[in-house]
Amino acid sequence: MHGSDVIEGLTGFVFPNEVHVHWTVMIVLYPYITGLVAGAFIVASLYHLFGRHELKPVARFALVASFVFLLFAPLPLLNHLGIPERAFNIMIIPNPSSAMAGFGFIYTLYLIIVGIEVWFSLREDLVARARSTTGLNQLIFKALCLFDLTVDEKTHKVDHRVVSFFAAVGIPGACFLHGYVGFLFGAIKANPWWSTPLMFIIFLLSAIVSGISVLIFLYFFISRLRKVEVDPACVKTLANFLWGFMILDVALELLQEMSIAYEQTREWEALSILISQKLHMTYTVLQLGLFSLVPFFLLGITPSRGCRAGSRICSRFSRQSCCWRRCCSCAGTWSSAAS
Amino acid sequence: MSGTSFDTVREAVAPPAGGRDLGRRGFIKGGVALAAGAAVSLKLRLDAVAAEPAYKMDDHWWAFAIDTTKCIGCGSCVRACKAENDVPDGCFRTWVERYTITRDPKLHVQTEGEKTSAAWALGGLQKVTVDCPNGALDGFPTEAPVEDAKTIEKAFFVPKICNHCATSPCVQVCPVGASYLSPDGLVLIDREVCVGCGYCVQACPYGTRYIHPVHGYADKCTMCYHRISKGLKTACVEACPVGARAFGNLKDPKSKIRQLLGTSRFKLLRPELGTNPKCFYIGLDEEVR
Repeated sequence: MHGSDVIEGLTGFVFPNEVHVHWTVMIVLYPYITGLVAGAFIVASLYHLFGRHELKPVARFALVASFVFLLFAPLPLLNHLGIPERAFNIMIIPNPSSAMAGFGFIYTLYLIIVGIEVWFSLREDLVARARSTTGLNQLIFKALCLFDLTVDEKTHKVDHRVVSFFAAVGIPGACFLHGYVGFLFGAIKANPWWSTPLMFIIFLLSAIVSGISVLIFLYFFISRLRKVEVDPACVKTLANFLWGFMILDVALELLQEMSIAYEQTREWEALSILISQKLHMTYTVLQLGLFSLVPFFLLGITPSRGCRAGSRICSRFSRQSCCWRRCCSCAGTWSSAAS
Repeated sequence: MSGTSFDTVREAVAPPAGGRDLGRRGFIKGGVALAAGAAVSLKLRLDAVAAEPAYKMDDHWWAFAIDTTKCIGCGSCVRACKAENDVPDGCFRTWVERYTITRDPKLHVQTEGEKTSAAWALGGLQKVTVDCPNGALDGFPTEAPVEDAKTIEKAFFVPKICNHCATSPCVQVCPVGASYLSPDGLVLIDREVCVGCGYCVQACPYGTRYIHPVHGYADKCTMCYHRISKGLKTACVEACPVGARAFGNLKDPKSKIRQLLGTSRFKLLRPELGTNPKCFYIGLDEEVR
């Protein structure tokens, strides 16, 4: 697309090189998926570590979901890179001063933590499968059990202790993983929309919101596939956590915008044009209105109306989080020129 | 060996009838003359090489200066840069912005469909409009970028280029160290290492970087390193018809840029960010960001 054509479509001035937004959907997807990882992991830890037994039906599922999302998370990034075949340069020749360079190591460390926890959590089931199957399947399950099919009181205790330990280690890990993604954005001083210490906390909270919401959604989905009833107490607890974290998340987002707006700095001149015109639909109408206020009220009445409505509501939360990151990405790029 | 054999050889090497007999003495004379000629020629070549000063990075600290009061917005610099560095369409290593400042209280009311508005200045009585059609590759249209040309208070052009910051955020954030500050003060990119993540594009407060649409690596102004390290001018400086652009070695007290900065008032773009830019703007208006 020709640069000047796009400039004419925008209000305000954008540097010619920044008319094309480089960080687009793929960059939005990556923190979104790591958010799901962190959120789902925290749900798993609520059961394993903090003894919220009403979450038992989703605890191990949450852990596996977290692991699967984590494995998938780098794919959008690879798709985004200009030269993806050099992706491992980030770990082979990292630049110590770069916020992004540390991310490969943090991601890997977290992957190991979640991987170990998933393995110990599922070990007894794997052993049972290895014993009940034959042929190639048995070989695969035996390999997954590392060819040790011992299950007794002692191994049960050890498994439980290891899972609890990694759940404890994993919580700060999850916070660090996703908070660090927020730091990647918050550390960019060229973009007034991003450059705030609040970014770290907002990313973390929105991660928990989107993680819990997608977990509820998947729980409904899987339950329908397995033709089993959902556990109302479990969904109610999840919905309560979701409501609380969502209030914190949206409040912080609004506080951030309000403080910039109230200060009336030069940055606000550019940001206000973006919010009121270019991002009016995505930010004001969809993100703040449809995906924040509506679920807020619906979720408030969910416990009294049963959990069936939860799946629809939660999918909206999930979109709110994604929508926020999309606005964040575009607005940051465009506002850098005008400020 | 018999004498007959020698005679045979002598006949074989003798010059044809009528030719000059070189002889041993002549051969030695010729050889000496040839060797002397070659030595003189070699000496001359060595002198020529010695006369061309070897480029030493440590002796340089390159910087750029732009006199905004001279720029006429012709876009020659943009075209020269594009031709010299094979800059892809839609991307710019340098560009020119036009600032049009209007003074009219009615403009406080933003009309529907208004295309440009950047900031209010001079106690809220002035409105600043910035435009940059295709990076000024083809110059600027003669029409004013505002509805009523009579309201224009003043207008001027501002060329933009990589600031080659001494503490540049792009170098700081590059995850693989592909962006680096060279010992002679230029921010350069190692194309063989860059992964094309675009973090530097986000981090640059001046919008000077882009991801190459074909090759995928980050790209930007190199201050024509391939030229200035050979003693040549940058393409944009060479092309500017009014001398609005200058560059030079800040470590050399006799350099043009040192003299220019020593005799002019200048400003930097966004100094509050602590990037220590090395592009100095002479006659920069307050409204330029």
